[in-house]
Amino acid sequence: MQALQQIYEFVDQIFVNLSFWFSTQLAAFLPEWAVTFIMMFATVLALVFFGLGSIIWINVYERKLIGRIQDRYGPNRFGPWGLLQCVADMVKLLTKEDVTPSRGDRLIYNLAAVAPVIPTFLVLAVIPFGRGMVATNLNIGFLYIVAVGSLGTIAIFMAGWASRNKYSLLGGMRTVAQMISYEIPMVLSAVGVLLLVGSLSLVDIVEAQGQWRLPFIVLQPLAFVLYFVSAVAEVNRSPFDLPEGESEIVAGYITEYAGIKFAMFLLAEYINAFSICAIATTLFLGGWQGPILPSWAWFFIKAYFLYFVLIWLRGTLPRLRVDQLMNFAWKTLVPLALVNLLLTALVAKLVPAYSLVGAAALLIMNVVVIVGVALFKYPGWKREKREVVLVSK
Amino acid sequence: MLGYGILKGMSVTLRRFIETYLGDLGKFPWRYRSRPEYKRMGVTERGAFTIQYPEETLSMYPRYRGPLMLLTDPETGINKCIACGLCERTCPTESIKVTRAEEKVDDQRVPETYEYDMNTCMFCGFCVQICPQDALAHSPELELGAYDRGEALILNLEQMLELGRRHAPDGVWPKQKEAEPS
Repeated sequence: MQALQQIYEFVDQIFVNLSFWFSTQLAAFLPEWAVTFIMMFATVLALVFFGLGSIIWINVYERKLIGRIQDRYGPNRFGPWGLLQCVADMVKLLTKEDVTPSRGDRLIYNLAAVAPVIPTFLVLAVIPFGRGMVATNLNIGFLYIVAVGSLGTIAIFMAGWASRNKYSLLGGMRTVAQMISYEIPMVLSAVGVLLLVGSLSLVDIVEAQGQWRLPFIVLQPLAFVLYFVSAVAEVNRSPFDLPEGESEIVAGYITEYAGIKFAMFLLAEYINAFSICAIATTLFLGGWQGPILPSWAWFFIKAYFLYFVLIWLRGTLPRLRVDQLMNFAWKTLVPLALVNLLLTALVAKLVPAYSLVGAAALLIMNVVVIVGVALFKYPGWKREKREVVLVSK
Repeated sequence: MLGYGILKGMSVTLRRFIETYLGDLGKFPWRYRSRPEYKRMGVTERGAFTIQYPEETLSMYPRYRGPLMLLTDPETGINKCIACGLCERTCPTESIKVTRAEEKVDDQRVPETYEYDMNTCMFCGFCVQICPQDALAHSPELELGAYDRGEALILNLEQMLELGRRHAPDGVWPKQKEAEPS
């Protein structure tokens, strides 16, 4: 039993111990400030390489699963089971001609290709990937994510503006409207969780779920759905991919981009999609908490399961219209998030924290809200069947 | 009810997703093993319907116009062609060259050489229509790629007979001989 415990501890803390071992090796011949400096860079490098490396197979994961959903095999030619498809894509993108629109704003156009990638990597800095596996335990972690996450909007608008192209500009404008609208329900729905925890730090949020002995999805199912829906819209994924809706505006803000610059946008999109899954895991699914398996394994299982849900949504739902999109944000998500916030504050004040009674009260509150809204919006519960009248002459 | 349609759609896609794996299990050993001919999936069959092309190939339609082949009579084992030269004369692009052998084989004229040039052939099918012995036919050969023009795409007598023996061992092609529109 003791030995098992030790093995578990070793596997669980393998990355933390690796970094600790590395710093002690450095400390043998370097002053303290240099070790701190190098360790900072090593952490950043590790995160960047994780981000870039995960693209290699997130790409294949997404394409294979969407293929299966559409009754076909995804890429399966290059490498075993097509796992090296990303390499082929990259070679293709890198060897393409780099075109810059002659009348566009050259400086902003080129800058915009780099800009979206930076905030995506910045977000990864505060996500706890496992027990003790966090780059910086910021005490304003969630606020930081919100602040950094909205930087992506500017990059996309820069791209849309600098391309000097009708479609790009339209895509950019849509992005701004969409991302600003959906940021509000996203943050408001997460505030309910923050109320229960009493801290903005993501590490604290995960640990609080350990204290409740329940993931917050049980306590806050409505908030989870609201968060996930608005986060999907926030990263411009289907069914909210209006900024790049290819059936309406050629490719939106990336119309004029080709080659490596296009690849940068793609990279930002994939990492963004992963990081919203990671944040949702941290906030609602208990982060790295879980039995038997090591903590980082649990984190990635949950995050990639959520990513599967993203792909699943993409394979199922058609794109929304612009007015539907705005209506959905302002008339459905924002009021629901506000109601949820209000009632969560009320219930959390009344019931004891970290107890099953409190959890049950919160769950009941959520169910009441959901059923209430369903009854309020659709009084007949089940929509009556429309009668089909065949016109006879 | 709110969201009912979404849930229904999600269940449909999830079912299709799982069924591709179940369909793969049904096709054990894996589809990547080379199989001579792929049978099209019916509408009720489940699973991924992609044809994994180099490993699986569809058989072409009976009236598909591929490169020409010369048919052999299975009973006598002799080439059905009597080297009359009609195909050579009717060919609009002059892709066919036939020479007649001096000696008869089993009281039948046979060609000595037959040269069919796929570089210029446009697969119009006049030669097949005009052949009095039904000795000439379009083979269902699909892969006509070659690395350069010229010799690689010129078939000689032996190659054309080989195509015929491979695709129509009983000397009739298409299998159900239809009346050609004249």
